[in-house]
Amino acid sequence: AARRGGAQPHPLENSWTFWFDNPSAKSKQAAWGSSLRPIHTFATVEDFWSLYNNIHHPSKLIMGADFHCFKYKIEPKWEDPICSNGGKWTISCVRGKADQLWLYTLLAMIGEQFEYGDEICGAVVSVRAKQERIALWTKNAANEEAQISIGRQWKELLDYNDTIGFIFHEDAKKDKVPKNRYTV
Amino acid sequence: DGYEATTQKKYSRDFLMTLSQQFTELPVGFEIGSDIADALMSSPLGKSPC
Repeated sequence: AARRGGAQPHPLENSWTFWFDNPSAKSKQAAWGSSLRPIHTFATVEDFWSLYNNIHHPSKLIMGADFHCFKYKIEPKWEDPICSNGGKWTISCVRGKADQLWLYTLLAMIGEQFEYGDEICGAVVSVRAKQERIALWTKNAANEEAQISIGRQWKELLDYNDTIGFIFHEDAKKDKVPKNRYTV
Repeated sequence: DGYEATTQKKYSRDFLMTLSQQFTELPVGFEIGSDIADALMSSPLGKSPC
């Protein structure tokens, strides 16, 4: 990527990987996650923008798509050893409205704006027929103090006013409609 | 505006946004399968802007 005026790149605290799950590549029998694959890993502010400016934003993604941004070496799966005891906060909005919320979520993560940033695994935007959902995945679901802090800060950073809920991955595995363990 | 090595690298949204329009070319070494390029990429691949 071109470096304007020879300026030094801005390194990020963590490296992050974009992952894409392409529904058009999936047959009905295909297992979940079989079309999930890493796209690119970035470690500077400059490389983040170089990627972000060339990929579709949520409103342009095809229905059924999941687009993830997770810390390097953490796979966006329940089975990942770092995610397995975790959970997620979820916000939803009407179709076509998630672009700004998604960008602000990414900037808050890579810019380390969360007090409990170490607890964050990554975020995923899911494009569905009637709505778009953004979920923020965290590590230790049982650490209530950390989860509440992250949920509150996320809403503030996004200027999002509806109540949001936190679901344990463990519950999501067992129940079709898992209960919120925390709400903010 | 440097930071010390021990300081966590934090960047505010406002600061990050100031850099947004300066980096429009794909990162060096970017590769993607053609099967998902259409679904994901907003700019056509394989065309050099130069």
